[in-house]
Amino acid sequence: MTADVNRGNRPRSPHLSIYRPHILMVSSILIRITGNGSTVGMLLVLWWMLAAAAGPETYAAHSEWLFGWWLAYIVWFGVIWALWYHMLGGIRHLIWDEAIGLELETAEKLGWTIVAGSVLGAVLTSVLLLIF
Amino acid sequence: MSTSDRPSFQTDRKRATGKGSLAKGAEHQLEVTYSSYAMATVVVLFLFCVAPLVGAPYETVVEGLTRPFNFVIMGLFVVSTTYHWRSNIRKVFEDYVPHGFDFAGMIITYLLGWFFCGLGLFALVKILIASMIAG
Repeated sequence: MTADVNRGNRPRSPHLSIYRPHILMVSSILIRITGNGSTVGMLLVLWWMLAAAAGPETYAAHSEWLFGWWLAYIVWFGVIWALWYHMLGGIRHLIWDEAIGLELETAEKLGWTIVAGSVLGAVLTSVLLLIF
Repeated sequence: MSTSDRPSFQTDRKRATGKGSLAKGAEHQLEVTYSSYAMATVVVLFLFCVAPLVGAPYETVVEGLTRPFNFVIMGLFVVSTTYHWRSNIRKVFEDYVPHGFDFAGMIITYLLGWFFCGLGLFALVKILIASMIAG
Protein backbone atom coordinates (compact mmCIF):
# COMPACT_ATOMS: atom_id res chain seq x y z
CA MET A 1 0.00 0.00 0.00
CA THR A 2 1.37 3.42 -0.90
CA ALA A 3 0.54 6.65 0.88
CA ASP A 4 -1.48 9.29 -1.01
CA VAL A 5 0.88 12.12 -0.13
CA ASN A 6 2.22 14.46 -2.79
CA ARG A 7 5.78 14.88 -1.62
CA GLY A 8 6.44 17.59 -4.17
CA ASN A 9 4.06 20.03 -2.47
CA ARG A 10 5.20 19.46 1.10
CA PRO A 11 6.36 22.58 2.96
CA ARG A 12 10.07 22.83 3.62
CA SER A 13 11.62 23.16 7.08
CA PRO A 14 12.40 25.01 9.28
CA HIS A 15 10.36 28.14 8.45
CA LEU A 16 13.04 30.46 9.79
CA SER A 17 11.12 33.55 8.73
CA ILE A 18 7.96 32.50 10.60
CA TYR A 19 9.02 31.45 14.09
CA ARG A 20 11.03 33.54 16.54
CA PRO A 21 14.21 31.71 17.62
CA HIS A 22 14.21 30.05 21.05
CA ILE A 23 16.55 27.55 22.71
CA LEU A 24 14.68 24.42 21.58
CA MET A 25 14.53 25.59 17.97
CA VAL A 26 18.14 26.80 17.87
CA SER A 27 19.50 23.69 19.62
CA SER A 28 17.62 21.50 17.16
CA ILE A 29 18.93 23.42 14.13
CA LEU A 30 22.43 23.22 15.61
CA ILE A 31 22.17 19.42 15.64
CA ARG A 32 21.85 19.48 11.85
CA ILE A 33 24.64 22.04 11.46
CA THR A 34 26.95 20.04 13.74
CA GLY A 35 25.95 16.91 11.83
CA ASN A 36 27.41 18.54 8.74
CA GLY A 37 30.43 19.65 10.80
CA SER A 38 30.92 16.06 11.91
CA THR A 39 30.80 15.02 8.25
CA VAL A 40 33.79 17.30 7.66
CA GLY A 41 35.46 15.60 10.64
CA MET A 42 34.69 12.15 9.23
CA LEU A 43 36.29 13.14 5.90
CA LEU A 44 39.36 14.57 7.65
CA VAL A 45 39.81 11.38 9.69
CA LEU A 46 39.48 9.35 6.46
CA TRP A 47 42.10 11.56 4.82
CA TRP A 48 44.42 11.05 7.83
CA MET A 49 43.93 7.25 7.75
CA LEU A 50 44.51 7.01 3.99
CA ALA A 51 47.69 9.10 4.34
CA ALA A 52 48.91 6.75 7.08
CA ALA A 53 48.03 3.72 4.92
CA ALA A 54 50.04 5.15 2.02
CA GLY A 55 53.34 5.14 3.96
CA PRO A 56 55.61 7.43 6.00
CA GLU A 57 56.55 9.89 3.22
CA THR A 58 52.96 10.47 2.12
CA TYR A 59 51.88 10.73 5.77
CA ALA A 60 54.50 13.39 6.48
CA ALA A 61 53.46 15.42 3.41
CA HIS A 62 49.74 15.26 4.22
CA SER A 63 50.32 15.97 7.92
CA GLU A 64 51.52 19.43 6.92
CA TRP A 65 48.10 20.11 5.40
CA LEU A 66 46.11 18.42 8.13
CA PHE A 67 47.91 19.66 11.26
CA GLY A 68 50.78 21.94 10.33
CA TRP A 69 49.20 25.41 10.31
CA TRP A 70 46.98 27.67 12.44
CA LEU A 71 43.76 27.14 10.47
CA ALA A 72 44.01 23.38 11.07
CA TYR A 73 43.77 23.94 14.85
CA ILE A 74 40.59 25.98 14.41
CA VAL A 75 39.06 23.37 12.08
CA TRP A 76 39.92 20.46 14.40
CA PHE A 77 38.53 22.33 17.43
CA GLY A 78 35.35 23.00 15.44
CA VAL A 79 35.10 19.32 14.50
CA ILE A 80 35.58 18.22 18.13
CA TRP A 81 32.90 20.69 19.30
CA ALA A 82 30.55 19.52 16.53
CA LEU A 83 31.09 15.88 17.55
CA TRP A 84 30.35 16.67 21.21
CA TYR A 85 27.29 18.77 20.38
CA HIS A 86 25.90 16.26 17.90
CA MET A 87 26.45 13.39 20.35
CA LEU A 88 24.82 15.19 23.31
CA GLY A 89 21.98 16.37 21.08
CA GLY A 90 21.52 12.79 19.87
CA ILE A 91 21.40 11.50 23.45
CA ARG A 92 18.73 14.14 24.20
CA HIS A 93 16.78 12.83 21.21
CA LEU A 94 17.03 9.26 22.52
CA ILE A 95 15.76 10.46 25.93
CA TRP A 96 12.83 12.20 24.24
CA ASP A 97 12.09 9.02 22.26
CA GLU A 98 11.35 7.39 25.63
CA ALA A 99 8.85 10.23 26.34
CA ILE A 100 11.07 11.59 29.13
CA GLY A 101 11.90 15.28 29.58
CA LEU A 102 9.26 16.60 27.22
CA GLU A 103 7.90 19.22 29.65
CA LEU A 104 8.76 22.69 28.38
CA GLU A 105 10.90 23.68 31.35
CA THR A 106 12.86 20.39 31.36
CA ALA A 107 13.28 20.49 27.57
CA GLU A 108 14.67 24.03 27.73
CA LYS A 109 17.09 23.01 30.49
CA LEU A 110 18.23 20.08 28.32
CA GLY A 111 18.80 22.53 25.45
CA TRP A 112 21.09 24.73 27.55
CA THR A 113 22.78 21.61 29.00
CA ILE A 114 23.88 20.36 25.59
CA VAL A 115 25.16 23.82 24.63
CA ALA A 116 27.22 24.11 27.84
CA GLY A 117 28.23 20.43 27.85
CA SER A 118 29.47 20.54 24.27
CA VAL A 119 31.66 23.61 24.89
CA LEU A 120 33.06 22.07 28.09
CA GLY A 121 33.64 18.72 26.40
CA ALA A 122 35.33 20.30 23.38
CA VAL A 123 37.66 22.44 25.52
CA LEU A 124 38.56 19.51 27.81
CA THR A 125 39.18 17.14 24.88
CA SER A 126 41.28 19.72 23.01
CA VAL A 127 43.39 20.44 26.10
CA LEU A 128 43.91 16.70 26.69
CA LEU A 129 44.86 16.16 23.04
CA LEU A 130 47.33 19.07 23.14
CA ILE A 131 48.91 17.76 26.39
CA PHE A 132 49.19 14.11 25.29
CA MET B 1 -17.66 -8.17 14.79
CA SER B 2 -15.88 -5.88 12.38
CA THR B 3 -12.18 -6.24 11.55
CA SER B 4 -11.26 -3.10 13.48
CA ASP B 5 -12.89 -4.44 16.67
CA ARG B 6 -10.74 -7.55 16.77
CA PRO B 7 -7.74 -7.55 19.13
CA SER B 8 -4.49 -7.19 17.20
CA PHE B 9 -1.75 -9.71 17.80
CA GLN B 10 0.70 -7.72 15.69
CA THR B 11 3.43 -5.60 17.26
CA ASP B 12 3.36 -1.81 16.98
CA ARG B 13 6.34 -2.01 14.62
CA LYS B 14 4.53 -4.43 12.28
CA ARG B 15 1.41 -2.22 12.22
CA ALA B 16 3.56 0.78 11.24
CA THR B 17 5.18 -1.09 8.33
CA GLY B 18 4.22 0.43 4.98
CA LYS B 19 2.80 3.63 6.51
CA GLY B 20 4.07 7.19 6.20
CA SER B 21 4.77 9.42 3.22
CA LEU B 22 7.54 7.13 1.97
CA ALA B 23 5.58 3.96 2.80
CA LYS B 24 8.56 2.83 4.86
CA GLY B 25 6.91 2.71 8.30
CA ALA B 26 9.25 3.09 11.24
CA GLU B 27 12.22 1.56 9.42
CA HIS B 28 14.17 4.78 8.95
CA GLN B 29 13.48 5.97 12.49
CA LEU B 30 14.77 2.64 13.85
CA GLU B 31 17.89 2.85 11.63
CA VAL B 32 18.69 6.26 13.07
CA THR B 33 17.89 5.21 16.65
CA TYR B 34 20.03 2.05 16.60
CA SER B 35 22.97 3.84 14.97
CA SER B 36 22.60 6.67 17.54
CA TYR B 37 23.02 4.18 20.40
CA ALA B 38 26.12 2.78 18.66
CA MET B 39 27.52 6.26 18.03
CA ALA B 40 26.96 7.43 21.63
CA THR B 41 29.29 4.65 22.78
CA VAL B 42 31.80 4.56 19.94
CA VAL B 43 32.37 8.34 19.69
CA VAL B 44 33.37 8.60 23.37
CA LEU B 45 35.78 5.66 23.02
CA PHE B 46 37.15 7.19 19.80
CA LEU B 47 37.70 10.62 21.43
CA PHE B 48 39.65 9.21 24.37
CA CYS B 49 41.41 6.16 22.83
CA VAL B 50 42.05 6.86 19.14
CA ALA B 51 41.80 10.66 18.75
CA PRO B 52 45.16 11.23 20.56
CA LEU B 53 46.77 9.40 17.62
CA VAL B 54 45.43 11.92 15.09
CA GLY B 55 48.39 14.14 14.16
CA ALA B 56 50.96 11.96 15.97
CA PRO B 57 54.20 10.84 14.24
CA TYR B 58 53.80 8.03 11.69
CA GLU B 59 55.34 5.27 13.84
CA THR B 60 53.08 6.19 16.79
CA VAL B 61 50.00 6.15 14.53
CA VAL B 62 50.80 2.71 13.09
CA GLU B 63 51.68 1.28 16.49
CA GLY B 64 48.54 2.77 18.06
CA LEU B 65 46.06 1.81 15.34
CA THR B 66 47.26 -1.80 15.20
CA ARG B 67 46.60 -2.39 18.90
CA PRO B 68 43.60 -4.77 18.98
CA PHE B 69 41.34 -2.50 21.07
CA ASN B 70 42.08 0.65 19.03
CA PHE B 71 41.76 -1.32 15.78
CA VAL B 72 38.27 -2.53 16.74
CA ILE B 73 37.18 0.93 17.98
CA MET B 74 38.44 2.58 14.79
CA GLY B 75 36.66 -0.02 12.64
CA LEU B 76 33.40 0.44 14.56
CA PHE B 77 33.82 4.22 14.33
CA VAL B 78 34.16 4.05 10.54
CA VAL B 79 31.17 1.72 10.10
CA SER B 80 28.81 3.45 12.56
CA THR B 81 29.75 6.98 11.41
CA THR B 82 29.19 6.30 7.72
CA TYR B 83 25.97 4.34 8.41
CA HIS B 84 24.60 7.09 10.69
CA TRP B 85 25.65 9.73 8.15
CA ARG B 86 23.84 8.18 5.20
CA SER B 87 20.71 7.58 7.33
CA ASN B 88 20.55 11.14 8.59
CA ILE B 89 21.58 13.04 5.48
CA ARG B 90 18.34 11.71 3.96
CA LYS B 91 16.34 13.90 6.37
CA VAL B 92 18.30 16.95 5.24
CA PHE B 93 17.45 16.20 1.60
CA GLU B 94 13.78 15.59 2.45
CA ASP B 95 13.48 18.85 4.38
CA TYR B 96 15.51 21.33 2.34
CA VAL B 97 16.03 20.08 -1.21
CA PRO B 98 13.31 20.51 -3.88
CA HIS B 99 11.46 17.39 -5.02
CA GLY B 100 13.33 15.47 -7.70
CA PHE B 101 16.78 16.63 -6.65
CA ASP B 102 16.23 15.18 -3.17
CA PHE B 103 15.81 11.66 -4.56
CA ALA B 104 18.99 11.97 -6.64
CA GLY B 105 20.83 13.36 -3.62
CA MET B 106 19.66 10.48 -1.43
CA ILE B 107 20.91 7.89 -3.93
CA ILE B 108 24.28 9.63 -4.28
CA THR B 109 24.78 9.92 -0.50
CA TYR B 110 23.67 6.30 0.00
CA LEU B 111 26.40 5.17 -2.41
CA LEU B 112 28.91 7.63 -0.93
CA GLY B 113 28.18 6.23 2.55
CA TRP B 114 29.20 2.74 1.44
CA PHE B 115 32.20 4.17 -0.45
CA PHE B 116 33.51 6.08 2.61
CA CYS B 117 32.94 3.04 4.81
CA GLY B 118 34.90 0.82 2.41
CA LEU B 119 37.65 3.41 2.08
CA GLY B 120 38.08 3.72 5.86
CA LEU B 121 38.15 -0.04 6.43
CA PHE B 122 40.55 -0.49 3.51
CA ALA B 123 42.96 2.07 5.01
CA LEU B 124 42.72 0.43 8.42
CA VAL B 125 43.43 -3.07 7.08
CA LYS B 126 46.27 -1.75 4.88
CA ILE B 127 47.92 -0.15 7.93
CA LEU B 128 47.61 -3.48 9.79
CA ILE B 129 49.10 -5.49 6.91
CA ALA B 130 51.96 -2.98 6.41
CA SER B 131 52.70 -3.18 10.13
CA MET B 132 52.73 -7.00 10.07
CA ILE B 133 55.05 -7.08 7.03
CA ALA B 134 57.39 -4.55 8.68
CA GLY B 135 57.49 -6.95 11.62
